[in-house]
Amino acid sequence: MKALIKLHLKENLKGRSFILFGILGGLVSLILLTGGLIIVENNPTEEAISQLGTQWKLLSIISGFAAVTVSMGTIERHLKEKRAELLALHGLAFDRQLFSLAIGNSLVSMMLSAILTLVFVLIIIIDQAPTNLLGFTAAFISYLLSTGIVALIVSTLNMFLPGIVVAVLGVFLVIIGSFHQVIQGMLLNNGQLAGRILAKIMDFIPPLDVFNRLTRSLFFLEFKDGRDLIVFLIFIWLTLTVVFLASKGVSRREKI
Amino acid sequence: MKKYSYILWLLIGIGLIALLFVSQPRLIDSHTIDLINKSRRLDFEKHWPGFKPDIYPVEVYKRNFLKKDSAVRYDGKELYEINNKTPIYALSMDVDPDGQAKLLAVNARDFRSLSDVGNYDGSSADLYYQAVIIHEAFHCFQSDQGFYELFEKQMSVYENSTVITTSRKLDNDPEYQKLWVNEMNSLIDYAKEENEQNYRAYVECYRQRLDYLYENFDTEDIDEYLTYSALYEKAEGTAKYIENIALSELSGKELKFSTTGYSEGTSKFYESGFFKAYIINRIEGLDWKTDFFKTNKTFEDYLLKAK
Amino acid sequence: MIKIKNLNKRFGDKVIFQNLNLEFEAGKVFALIGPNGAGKTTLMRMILGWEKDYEGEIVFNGDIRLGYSPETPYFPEILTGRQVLSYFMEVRGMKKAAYETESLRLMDEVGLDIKKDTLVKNYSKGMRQRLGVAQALIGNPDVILLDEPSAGLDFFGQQEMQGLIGKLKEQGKTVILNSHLLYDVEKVADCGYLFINAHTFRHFNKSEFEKESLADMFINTAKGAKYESLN
Repeated sequence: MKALIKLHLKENLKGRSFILFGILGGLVSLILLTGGLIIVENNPTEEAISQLGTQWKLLSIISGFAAVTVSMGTIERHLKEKRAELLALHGLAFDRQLFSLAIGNSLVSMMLSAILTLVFVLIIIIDQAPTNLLGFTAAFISYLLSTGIVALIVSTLNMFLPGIVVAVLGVFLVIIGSFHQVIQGMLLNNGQLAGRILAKIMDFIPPLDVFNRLTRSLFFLEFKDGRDLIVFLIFIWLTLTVVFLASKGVSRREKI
Repeated sequence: MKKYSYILWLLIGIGLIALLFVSQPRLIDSHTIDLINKSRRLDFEKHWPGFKPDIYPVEVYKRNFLKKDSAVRYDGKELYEINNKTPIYALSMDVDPDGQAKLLAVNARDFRSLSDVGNYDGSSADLYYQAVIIHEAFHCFQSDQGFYELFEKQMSVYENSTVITTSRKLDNDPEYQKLWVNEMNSLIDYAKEENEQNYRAYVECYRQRLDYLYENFDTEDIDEYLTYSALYEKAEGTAKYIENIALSELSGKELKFSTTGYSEGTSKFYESGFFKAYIINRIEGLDWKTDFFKTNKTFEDYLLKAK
Repeated sequence: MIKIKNLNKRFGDKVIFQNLNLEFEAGKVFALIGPNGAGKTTLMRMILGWEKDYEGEIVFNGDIRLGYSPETPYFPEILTGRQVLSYFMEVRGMKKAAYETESLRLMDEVGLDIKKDTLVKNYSKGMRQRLGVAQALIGNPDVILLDEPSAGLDFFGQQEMQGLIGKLKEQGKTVILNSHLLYDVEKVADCGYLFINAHTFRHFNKSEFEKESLADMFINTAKGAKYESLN
């Protein structure tokens, strides 16, 4: 599995995309720094905190899209190029190949997400943001893992659906996930039965906004809500389990 | 070995889900209760005589995983779950069939998700939550004064009147928007410093806006629109005023006056109403508040006669 | 070494094999020839265990290791030839020290030693085919299945491939070769099977195609099949 993941990283981590994401993240961070901030009247949050919080939010949305781009067609390509059979002959079972690719996708996405934050990290250091090394590290890990979750889900979808459909679903996943609670609130607020049912279904879509809130609370050293962490861990567990089971299922279907 | 790792993985999942269930509050989480209690305890006698937030019960929306969602009612002492009706997921107010005004709320954690667009940090979100509770409690107070019912009734009349079309026209009229923003800025200056010059500047902006309306639109339509906007300002502006005072007291920060520009729909009336309530409070003290909701008076009735 | 017993295989309505019985003995070069769609690649896939939907038995004499080179092998374009071999060896769980030397040996074996550090994307068709064979040799297999190893190669490329197959035979390997190039087959095969359709197939050996060319054998057998089907 390690060899395939290593190769997958090598094939997908091109210098060009690193530079592109570095620039993209830098631009976002700098634009926000120079005042593209959402103003809420009489918001008691310190401006600096509000600004850094917005940075985390935007970067996590962009990295979600990055995860979709990285993962959307990989499994399909693997099957089409007949890479699977040779690998199986050399002893790597097909389900393990799929699992490795999904993990590879999430690692590539996490690396790109890390690149996205380069300028942001510089701002944090220069501005002496209200955090410490531990808080930043914990926030950074949760930020990366939530991107990894998106990549895993998109990879799983690509085991069953063509890349183009997966891309659309992936974008929906990121948008709905990033405004999960607000959308769920609107559905509940609507009061109709259909709205309430949809709101329940939404419980199974990863709430990227809750993960982002966790990231921010870790970063600002104000982590109190254990339930956010539990929900986050459950989604990591659930996603990995789904990838594992889907890999098994698809390997049966493909009879390799 | 492989089998054991599968079992271990399964156990981790079961453990996490169990933890989620165990950590689930039975009715409302203690943090939410704590914040509701804090806001109910605030004393508004010196800001709006007669307004006591602690006399209104709160119904908190409770999300249940495997059963229908319910509401938990809290009257400051006891908590009890209401299962027999569909709860409303909102921060709002309602009146029970027996005439008791009550607050409708979501818990503090859900509230933070809903207010996340402004990127509040945790403690600010908590402060804002308390302030919004106060805002809704003030609507309950308006209801007790007989005003809220009048407001609701009038609003349902306006729904089928020309007000909606006039409002839409104005929302698409850049000249009118400019005049509105000018007036808001003059109000901000007047709120920051009460003097003759700022008063005159405000009155001038107000007149200019009115002149523009009457020159360019049908007089009847504008009369109706102005009554409508004054009523809206009265209901929401006073509640916003109380909310901002609560926020200022809780955070220990001074009130800030700024405008987000012209916003479409009714949200601009919260802002304008807040500025006006603040200014009148400075000029008139507390007396005007006693019968404000019991009469047809508007903010302008006080503002324009003040000097 | 490998025995195929009473094999029946169909794709939808089309019968590919009907009650097929054949055997591959150790140390020989076998050729599978026949028109497109006769089932040559399908038979290879059955032996490799990738085609499981059939009736009958494929019996292996003991624990036999298989190597395989597909017709158009996919190799990661961003790797050099030697890295490709190392990659498959690593997949097999070989240690770094072992695959470093083994990959060199195999590159040498297939005559790619001077191109070992060239990226695969810069390989010619013939070099790719040879790398495919090298890949098939990983793990010292007993039986090597080569699917159209000379397809698309020029004359010299074909000759090099013939030499390579000859070398494998010298090493005592069993080679099962699927090819359309009858001239090529005559040069390297000891024996083989000619598939025309589900009902018509025959075994042949070197002494036979030394008398009658494989092309004539192919035509005559196909004619017979036609005659049979007309009746």
